[in-house]
Amino acid sequence: MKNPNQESSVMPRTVLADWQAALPEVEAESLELLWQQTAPQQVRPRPDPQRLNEVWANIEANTLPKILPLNAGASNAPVPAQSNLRFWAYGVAAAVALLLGWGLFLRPNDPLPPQEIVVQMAEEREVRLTDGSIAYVNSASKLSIEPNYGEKVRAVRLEGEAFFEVEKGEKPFVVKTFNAEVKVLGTKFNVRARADNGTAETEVFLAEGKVALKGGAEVVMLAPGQRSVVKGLETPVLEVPSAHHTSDALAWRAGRFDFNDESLGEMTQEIGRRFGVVIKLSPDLAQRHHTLLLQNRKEVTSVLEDLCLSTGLRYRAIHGGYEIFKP
Amino acid sequence: MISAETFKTWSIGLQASDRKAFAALFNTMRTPLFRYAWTFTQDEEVCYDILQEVFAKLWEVRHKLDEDRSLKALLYQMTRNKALNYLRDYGHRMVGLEGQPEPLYGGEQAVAAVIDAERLQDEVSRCVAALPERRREVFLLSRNEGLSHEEIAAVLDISPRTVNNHLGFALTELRSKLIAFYEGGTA
Repeated sequence: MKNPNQESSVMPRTVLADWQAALPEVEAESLELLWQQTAPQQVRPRPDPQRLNEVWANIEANTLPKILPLNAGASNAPVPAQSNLRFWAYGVAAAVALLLGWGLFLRPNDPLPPQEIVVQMAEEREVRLTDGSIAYVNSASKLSIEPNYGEKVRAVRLEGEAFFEVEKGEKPFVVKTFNAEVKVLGTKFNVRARADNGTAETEVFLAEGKVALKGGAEVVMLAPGQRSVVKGLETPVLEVPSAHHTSDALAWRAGRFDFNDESLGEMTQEIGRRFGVVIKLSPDLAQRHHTLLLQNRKEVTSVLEDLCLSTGLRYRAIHGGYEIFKP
Repeated sequence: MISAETFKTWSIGLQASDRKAFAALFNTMRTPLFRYAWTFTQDEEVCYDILQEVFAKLWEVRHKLDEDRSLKALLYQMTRNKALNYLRDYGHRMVGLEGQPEPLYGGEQAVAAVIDAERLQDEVSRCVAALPERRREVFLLSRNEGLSHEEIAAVLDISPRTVNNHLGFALTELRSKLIAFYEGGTA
C-alpha cells in the first residue's frame, strides 16, 4: 500500500527553518534525508468532502446568526448609487478636488504649495501627519499632503506605495492616486499605485476598519482582509473586493517579498525599487509568472540567488545593476 | 501554504463577525484538523463531530480572539483538547500517538537502489515510536502538521525553548539511528 501523504515530501520553508534552528550544526542534506524518511507513518484517512460540507452546513444552521451583521457579507457588493451620492458629498472643496484632480485644485493665489515627501529607491519613510495619522511610505514613492489638510478633509496624494494608519476623526481621510480614491475614517490599509508597472493599477488592501474605494464612477466598501484593484488610466475599472491571500500586500512592511503568481517583470521592478538597483531581463522572461516568498533579505544578491534558484535562471552583475538570463 | 499574515487577517475578520473570513478559515483548516483529530481518535465519525464543535466554539469566542496570537495554533489546540476529552470520556482505544504506527513504504526514495527502503522505513517508525511521549508529539506536530515552534508551543502550552529542545533531541536521535542503520545496512 502506498503512503497517502504525498504532500509530505515537500518541506515547508518554515519547518525547515525551525529544524535548522533546532539542529544548527547539521547540514541541510542530512535534514532533507530525515524529512524524507520520517514521512507520516500512519495512514491518516482523508475526510470525505461531502461530509465536510455537511459539517459546515450544520455550523451555518446552528451557530451563525440568521441575520447578517452589517460588516459582513454585504461588503462584497458595490454600494448602491444613491448612498454613493450621500457618501461622497462632503464639502465643495473636496468635490472640486474630485472633479479637477490635484494639479488644478491649487488656486493661483494659494499661498501654500503641497508638502511633498519623496522617498528614493532603497529608502522607506515614516511620515507623521498633523492629525496623528501615520503614513509608511515605500521605496520610490511620493506622498503629497494638501496644504489645507484637515480643514474639511484630510487629503493626500500618492504615487507609489504606502501603508496608512489613520487616526479616527470627523474629517474623512482621502488617498488619491492617478486613477482611484480611497476614503476612510480611521483604519489601517495599504495602497499600491504604480502607474508605470506595465499594468496601470491601484491596489488597496485593508488590514483594519473600513474603507471606500472609488474608481471611475463606481465605489466599493472593503472589509478587513479584503483587497480590490482599480485598473486602467483613461476609464478606470473597479474590481469586486475579494478575501485574497493578501499577505503580499503587507510584505514590504516586514522587509519581505511575497510574490503570488506575479510576472518576473513586476518582481524585478519591485526588487529593484527596494534595493535601488536596476535589474534587466529579456521581454520573454518578463512575462513568466512565479510564486515566491523571500524572508528578511538584506542583500539584493541573496534575493536574486533565491529567485534564480527557484526559476532555473541565472544572474550576473552588469554596469549599474544586474541582469537575469537563461543559463 | 497559507501565511501567518492571512491567518491574522482572518482573526481580525472573525472579531468583526466576518462570515467570509470564518468560511475561508474553515475551508483551509478542515482537512488538516480532521486528520490531526484522527491521530488521537482513529474514528472518522468522531472527527467530523470534533471539527464541528471546534468551529462552533471558535465562532462563540470570536470577539475574544487576539490577532497577535496564532489562530492556527489555537485551532490545533482546541482540536487536541476535544480529542483528548473524547478519549477521556469514551475512549477505550489507545491514543493514536501512543500506538505502534503501522510501518509503510511510501514516496519515492532517492536511495531505494542502494538500501532496502522498507526496512529503513520500519526502522524510522520504530525510532519515532520510541521517542518519549512529549517529544514524539512535538516532533509529529512539526513533521505532520508543519507547525512552527511558536505554534507547537501554543498548542501544547509549553515554552518555545522547550519545543526547540524536544525537537533538537528528537532530530539528533533519529539522525544518529539513521546513520547507524545506513552504516550497518550497507556494510
